[in-house]
Amino acid sequence: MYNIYTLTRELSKLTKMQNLFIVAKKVNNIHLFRNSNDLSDIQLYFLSMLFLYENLNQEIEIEHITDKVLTNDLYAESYLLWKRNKKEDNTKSDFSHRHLHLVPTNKINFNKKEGN
Amino acid sequence: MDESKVEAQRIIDDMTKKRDLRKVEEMLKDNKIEFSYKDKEYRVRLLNLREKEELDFLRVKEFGRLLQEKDILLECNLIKQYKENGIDISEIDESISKFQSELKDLCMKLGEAIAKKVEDSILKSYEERINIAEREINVLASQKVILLQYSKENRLLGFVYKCLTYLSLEEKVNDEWKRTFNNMDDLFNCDEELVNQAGQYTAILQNV
Repeated sequence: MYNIYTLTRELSKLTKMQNLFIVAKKVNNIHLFRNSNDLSDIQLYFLSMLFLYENLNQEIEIEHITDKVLTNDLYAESYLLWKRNKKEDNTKSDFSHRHLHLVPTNKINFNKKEGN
Repeated sequence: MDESKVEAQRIIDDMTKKRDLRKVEEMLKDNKIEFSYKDKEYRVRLLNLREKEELDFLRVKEFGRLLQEKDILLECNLIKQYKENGIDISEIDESISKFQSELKDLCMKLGEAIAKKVEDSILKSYEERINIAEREINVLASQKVILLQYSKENRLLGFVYKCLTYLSLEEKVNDEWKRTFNNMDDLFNCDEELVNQAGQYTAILQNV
């Protein structure tokens, strides 16, 4: 029997599916599935793959990477893993340099309502 | 093989792939999977709330029965017994963790290399090292699965998958869908090939 997960991944890469995914997000009455809730495991996997390849297509479009990642699943996963980790590191370092002074005070002046 | 045979094989592979993709596309459209077996139409579907409660009831009942079985051990006791016989499962776990962290490290390096658009030979060398680490993890994980396959927990898991098939398999009778099995005994007495096929589809739809 064919590997359904491999084929689901292949389907999610297709331009036809990527277009349908983008349109379904924007147009209310276009749906990816007949059921609108109670998604099966394989439908959830398909959605996650559609998101993954949408993300990669955007990266290719802005030339952060080449379309080599579309031909090799390992390259796709590794690039996104690296990107996510880099993003987390940047967020951590942003917060370490930021000094927040959240001190309770009675000096906050709220705008008075007109007519009061 | 001459060129025309290679080309013919390529066309056949291409057609098979397209046919399989169409089948999967059809499966993805709904949270039910229809299939035919020996000229009859069947389908598996997600369980409803009442059926999930029935599944829980059957699971608890089976776990109670397994607890009474003296010859089948709980996973923790099986691990202890293996250790007394010189097989240390925790060592397998440690090796798996070691390879997993090596794998993550290599994937991060590969990801960075892709972002820096380095040459293909470097990407290939990372790919090879990743494949080796993955193979090691698979070997160790299979070894662990084989060692623990006769635990009470594994027996229970196998039983739960059978229950899922019993609860979710339906057949078309006069254009109406009806449950194929009335009880678990019906499933155990049924055609094994049908149960296996339905079981595979059920596992694709829902996790236990």
